[in-house]
Parts: sequence; structure tokens; C-alpha cells
Amino acid sequence: MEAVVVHLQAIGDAPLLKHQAFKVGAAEPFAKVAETLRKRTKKDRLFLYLNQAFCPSLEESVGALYQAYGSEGRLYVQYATTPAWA
Amino acid sequence: MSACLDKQLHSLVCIRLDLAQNEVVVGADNAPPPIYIQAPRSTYLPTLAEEAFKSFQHAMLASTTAAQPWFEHRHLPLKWHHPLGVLYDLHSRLGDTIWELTVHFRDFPERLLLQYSESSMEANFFMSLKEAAFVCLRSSSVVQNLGASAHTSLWTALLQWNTDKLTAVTSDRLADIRPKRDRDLIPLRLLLTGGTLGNTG
Repeated sequence: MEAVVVHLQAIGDAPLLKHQAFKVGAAEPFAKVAETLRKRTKKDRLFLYLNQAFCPSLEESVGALYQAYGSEGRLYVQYATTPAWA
Repeated sequence: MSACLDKQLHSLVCIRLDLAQNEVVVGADNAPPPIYIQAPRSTYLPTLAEEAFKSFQHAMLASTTAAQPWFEHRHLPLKWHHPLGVLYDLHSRLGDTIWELTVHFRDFPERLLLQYSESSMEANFFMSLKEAAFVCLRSSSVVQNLGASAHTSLWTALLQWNTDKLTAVTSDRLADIRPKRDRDLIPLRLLLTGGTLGNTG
């Protein structure tokens, strides 16, 4: 597995994106997803979640997260501008 | 299981902490003497910083603050977001009875360590707790439903090295975070040494 399809889901009043999915190298850390999302939404403060429950460590590799929590060929990531599942 | 947990919670790590040489003000008579600390395995490195800052403050530049201390062992910056006991197991050498660490209050290595504040330390702890609960129970609701007072007492117990209080909260409110059926998963994080950012799996 070289790349993982990250599927984004906006929560609450988080801005919707034109493209809701993008590919990230499996070896990249989750921080890369956070960084990409911040650029695309133009928001500095974002809260990211997997499984509508928790945010993994930012240095965890996207590939490892996909293996643990991905489904249907995708890693679903929810994002919000305020803490959602605190 | 509970005996193992009990031992884990009550084990201490002996640490000798020196101030980084390059942070000693030129002209100060001598480098300050090291401080020795017995810290519980279940806490986090930044909790050592307050005492270190008090002891070393006189030898540092007046503009130095305790805002973002970082620690190194044999020139390797240590990741604050792993519990102290885990770092000790990963990096100390066999036979080290005292773990020798150096504390820095300046020049935070942003490329090697994640930036932090007390609130991000707290968030990091609760997020990994939620992740563990999710792996085990396919839901993080046990942690989400902790309530403000249990949440606070759990976090302050960790910060204040209060293992009795920590045991009280975990055995009362978090006892459900354990596999119940054969097909349940055990949350396990494997850390490998020898890499930089991204080496955890």
C-alpha cells in the first residue's frame, strides 16, 4: 500500500470542501492530513477525529491508521472548528 | 492483571537532571549542581520541569521562561507525549540505575518534537485513552462520559504524581476499558527506537 484515500467529513460549522477526498502517502504522519486540511479550509484551528471519537497521535503513519481504522478502502476523517467529541 | 497494573502505577524511575551546558549564563560561577528526582512511570516528562526551573533559574538568562521545556538523553530529544516509564524503557541502557537526563528551556527542537502546552498534553493523554477505549470496545463513550470532575481528577492525579488518586479514578470509572470477549482487541502501541518522527506504529 503506497497511498491512502482520506475521506473528509465536515462537522458542525466547519467549511465544506470542494474535494472531499485526497490521497496521502501511507508513510506520511497524520500531521500531514492535519496540515493539508488547514491549508484547504484556511482555518488554523481545526479538530480532527477518526471514527467520530478520537484524534490519533499526529506522528502516527497514515498507513498504520488505515489498517487499524480504515474501511471500504478509505480512512474517514471528521473535522470541526470546535471540539466535537471531547 | 491488577497486580501488574498496581506495580506499573507505583514504580518509580530515578532521574538525575542537569541543565543544558549552553543555557548556563556565561559568567555564572559554575554550572548548577544536578537535581535528583524519583518520578512515577505513569507521568509525563514536562511535569519535572517546574522543579527543575526553580533549581536552575539562577544560572539561566533572565529572559528564559519555563514555557516549553524539553528533555534529552544522550543527545536524543525525548518525546513528551509518551509516558515517562515508556521513554525510560525505550532509551535507558540496561544497568542504568539512575537515568541521566538534560533539561533545556530554550531552542525547542520543532523539527523533532511536537510543540506543546499544558492543554495539548492533556488533550494528547485523553485522546490516547479514547483511542484505547475505541480499540477495546469499538466506542469511546466510556471516556467521553467521564464527566468533568472525574476528568479533572484523573488529569491532576497524573500531573501531581498522585498514584492513589489515579488508581481510584481508573478502577472506578475506567475499569471497562479491557477486553471482555475473546474477539475483543487489546489496545497495544508498539514503539520502535532508531527513527525520528513517524517511527511509531
